[in-house]
Amino acid sequence: MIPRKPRPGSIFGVPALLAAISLIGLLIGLLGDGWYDIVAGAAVAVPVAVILWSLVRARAGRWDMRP
Amino acid sequence: MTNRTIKSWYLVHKWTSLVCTVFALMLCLTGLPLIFHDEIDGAFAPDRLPAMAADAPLLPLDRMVAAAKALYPGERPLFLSFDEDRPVVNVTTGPHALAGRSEMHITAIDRRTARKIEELDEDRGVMAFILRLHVDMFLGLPGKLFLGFMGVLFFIAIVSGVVVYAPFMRRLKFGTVRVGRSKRVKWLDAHNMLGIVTLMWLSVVGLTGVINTLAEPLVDIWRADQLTSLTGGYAGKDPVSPADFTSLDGAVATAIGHAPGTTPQFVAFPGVRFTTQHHYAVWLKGATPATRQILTPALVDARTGAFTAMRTMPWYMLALRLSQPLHFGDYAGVPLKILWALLDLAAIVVLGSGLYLWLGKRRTSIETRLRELRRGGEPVRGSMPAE
Repeated sequence: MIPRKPRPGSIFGVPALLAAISLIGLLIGLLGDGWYDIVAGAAVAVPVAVILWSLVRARAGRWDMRP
Repeated sequence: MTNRTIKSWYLVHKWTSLVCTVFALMLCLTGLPLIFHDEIDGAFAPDRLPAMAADAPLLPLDRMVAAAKALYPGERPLFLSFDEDRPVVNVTTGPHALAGRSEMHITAIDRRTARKIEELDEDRGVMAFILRLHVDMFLGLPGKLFLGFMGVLFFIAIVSGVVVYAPFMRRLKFGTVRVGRSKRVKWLDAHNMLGIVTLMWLSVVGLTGVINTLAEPLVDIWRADQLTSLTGGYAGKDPVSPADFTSLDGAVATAIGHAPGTTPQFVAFPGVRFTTQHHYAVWLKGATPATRQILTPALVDARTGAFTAMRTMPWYMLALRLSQPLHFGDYAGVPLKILWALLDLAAIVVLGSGLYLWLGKRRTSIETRLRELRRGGEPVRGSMPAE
């Protein structure tokens, strides 16, 4: 295999975004009730949704297909 | 990254994880039911509060203290705390100011009738057992500090895990979990995917857990540092005896008068850990989830009822207070609690798969493992037979 240059941007792009969304969600919930709680819940739900997405694709074997 | 850097980070990840995994697993497993502590307690202990008109007037706080003292003759009041969502105060009494938990009585009293609702016993039942296991493994402060140290190792394991995630993912798309190769590749992928997705939640819950383990030393520092400096004029004076305590209602009203917009969360009676020998400390809180955590103690002279001092918490006490909701996940309703539980389950899988990956290839050389890492889990022919 030809060694490719690692591109940290492409490896950590999505994880960084997920981390930012999670952190904002965790903190927003502290600021107030009502809408704040809804936004907090929605943001913290994003990583959980991403896990489901990855596992649903895995079940279908989509990650094993060669690009 | 050079091979040597990857190797160092891989070893950091391996050893910090190995040391803390058993404890982290215990914390995740006991933490799961604790997320729903309130709901579980509510389901097993029905509300014994008698139904009354919503606008039934509240009796003075002094009546509540008198009711508690009448229940336990010879004891003195230590704390009085306010329930958030019902007209109830919890009065703690004990034989002396520094009584331990086993000597105390905590009585929930109806503010409309000054009658006892129930005695609170937090030390019994399955949930109390789980809580103690989670907080200090029944070992007191040393247990807490030990678990705090495990939390620090856990955070180092997260950081080093993120670093070794990079070489692993060089040829893989984000979120990859290959199920068609070997069992090992499947769990390696799952470990990486779950770990990187839950990274921030794991870090926040882990680090706030560490801060919570420092609660006792932090309160002691705060007490020594701030409380004594606020009440310098009282040095050398005799402690106020319980017989001389002035009206609690007057003290609470004075405190709120100096901090409009706040409500009292609890009152510490003179002599206990959260105040001085001479003062009622009325701990006031704000109205939002964040300011609700920011308690401002107002000190009111327990003999004269005069306002003495008030100062907002120092940064370390604030960090401690904010660490509680961020660790418990109890600040945005049941949906957040459910997410907390799901993320906790994900954490359990990360820990379990990590353990499985280590157990599965214990006899493999470090070089082979690093090769596995760099090749994104693809088996290396000859040295790593497929399972």
